[in-house]
Amino acid sequence: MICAMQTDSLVSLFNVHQAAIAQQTTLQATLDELTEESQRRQGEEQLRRESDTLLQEQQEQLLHVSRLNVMGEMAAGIAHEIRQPLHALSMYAGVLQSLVQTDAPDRDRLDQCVLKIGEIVRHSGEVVTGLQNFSRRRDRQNGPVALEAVVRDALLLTESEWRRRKVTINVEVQGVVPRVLGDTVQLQQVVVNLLRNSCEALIGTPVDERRIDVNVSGSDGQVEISVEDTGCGLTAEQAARVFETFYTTRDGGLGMGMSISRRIVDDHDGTLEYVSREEPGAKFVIRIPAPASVDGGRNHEGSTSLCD
Amino acid sequence: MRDRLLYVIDDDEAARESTSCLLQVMGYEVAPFSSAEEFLKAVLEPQGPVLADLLLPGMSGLQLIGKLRSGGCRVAVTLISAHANDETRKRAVAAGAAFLLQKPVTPDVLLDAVEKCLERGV
Repeated sequence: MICAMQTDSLVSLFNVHQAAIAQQTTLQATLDELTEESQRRQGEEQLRRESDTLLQEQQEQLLHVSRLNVMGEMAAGIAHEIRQPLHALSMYAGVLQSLVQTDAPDRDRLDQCVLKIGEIVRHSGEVVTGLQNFSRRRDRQNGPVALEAVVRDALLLTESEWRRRKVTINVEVQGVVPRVLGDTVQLQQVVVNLLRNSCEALIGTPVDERRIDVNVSGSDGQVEISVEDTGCGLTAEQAARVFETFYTTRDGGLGMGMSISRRIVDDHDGTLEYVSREEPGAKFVIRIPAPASVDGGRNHEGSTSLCD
Repeated sequence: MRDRLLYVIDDDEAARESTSCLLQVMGYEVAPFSSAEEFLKAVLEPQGPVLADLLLPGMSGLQLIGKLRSGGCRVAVTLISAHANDETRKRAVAAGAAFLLQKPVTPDVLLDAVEKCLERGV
């Protein structure tokens, strides 16, 4: 009896054990499947990350090539920008040489001359630094950007273009301009593109009417930059296609500038739009969000006028 | 004609000031202007050679020569440019410029051109 009971128990115990083994095997299989799935997903995730990185690198490369293209097109103007200060330095070298050859050099004039030389060298240094920053291959940065400084540097970079075309540029910075989060050089690229397009559009305009108004203002958590010119403006078709890649109205133009500009602004969660004007000319408006977390806002009131 | 009077026309402040400074130190009397229009308005009868930038806002250096010649003024005009090339050189010669100098100009070259213009006397 006892023996029969023990046998029954052993059988049932064996059965339970077998069931447990079966369950464990099933669990192990499920676990293996899950591990495999997880590894597959990790692989996919890694592939996606690699592909994102590749895409990002290609985009940065494209932006860089586009900046180099702009630099190439501005080469003649850049040469002019370098010849001008060199000429002034050459003249002052002559002044110094003449002054030191006299028995009693005019001390005030000497000091003034050295001061002027310092100013010219400093300005030239700024131009060269701006050109270097603009042309360098670099990874996208994501830091606080002061857009009024972006506009100022873009004006410096394009100075030869608007001076050569005798364009009057008026810059106004209104109210408090908070900083935005993004990449200074990329945003500079957008403003440079807009300024160069405006200069181009002004060729057929009488010299004393060639004007570009640049307005920078900050309100309701966003910064707005408008670039408005008194040039030939855009036809309805041009306005509809202006942001298309490879669309250009310029001989020898690549048609990359505006599409790249829009992509850059998109990447900054902003908008870049063409706004038609009642009077002849074109107006482009960039709007970029400026979250309060970037900074508390700084006061930059007042307006600056250039090349009047 | 005044003995050593020169007119310097350049919209680039640094270029205008430095050129004027050198010429003054070398003993010339200098009247500086930032545009051809400003010069024409202030000076009805130029009394000495003109040194003008080729690419001025408004009226260019070449147009200035045309304007002076059409008014019967034969004064020597030296054009200075940061954009000089074969084309501008031809146009400068055709317009009757005394010299076309490429910026940056060395003091010797500038002073030589100025002396030659003064020697010419017109």
